[in-house]
Amino acid sequence: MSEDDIERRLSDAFTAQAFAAAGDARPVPPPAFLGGAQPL
Amino acid sequence: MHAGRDVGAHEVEVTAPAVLVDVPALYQSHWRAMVRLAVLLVDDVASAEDVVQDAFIALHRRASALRDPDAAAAYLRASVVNLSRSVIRRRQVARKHLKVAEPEATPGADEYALLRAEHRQTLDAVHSLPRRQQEVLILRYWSGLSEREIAETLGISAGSVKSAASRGIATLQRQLGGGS
Repeated sequence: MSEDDIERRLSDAFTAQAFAAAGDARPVPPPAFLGGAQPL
Repeated sequence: MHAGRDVGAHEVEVTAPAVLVDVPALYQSHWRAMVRLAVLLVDDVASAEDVVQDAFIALHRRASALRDPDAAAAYLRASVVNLSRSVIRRRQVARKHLKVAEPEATPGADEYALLRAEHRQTLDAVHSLPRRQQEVLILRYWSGLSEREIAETLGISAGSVKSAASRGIATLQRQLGGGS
């Protein structure tokens, strides 16, 4: 397997994990110290 | 920068320091990306969200010392990496001491199970690498950072980044070589 293949697999796997785990993560409201009553 | 201004012998006006970094705006623009980065580093969403929240608290404390949004984003990224290391360390200690009580479940197991076999195989191989190599590969191939940016984020030399990336890739080539 070439270095390019490994790089592609890494990029694809990281993208898959990041989006599977946190793609639908609900944005939390900013903490109060950020002035944040505004939900994202 | 002067918080106040002297006119003759009298300090007549005290103005608030200029806001150089808009932390609430950064929170809105970077929160999700930072959670995704943290997920890759700690493997579960709840821990990742805690890490990112703590990183923003640290940024808030340092905001007046940071010169521009790019520096703030870099500070945030470095905080996420450092705080993720702490999570991993605490998890390892907990596993060591609470082995009997700890359930078998892997953090983020539900999401992990939904990934394609090829992705799971790749991620398993990444997780078997030394921590530094994992961090370099995640920052390079997920965050898309340059060697210099990774070096700044991890507080190491560009040469160390290159070496860690090269070793990591070589190990993955050996481990995944027989795969699809």
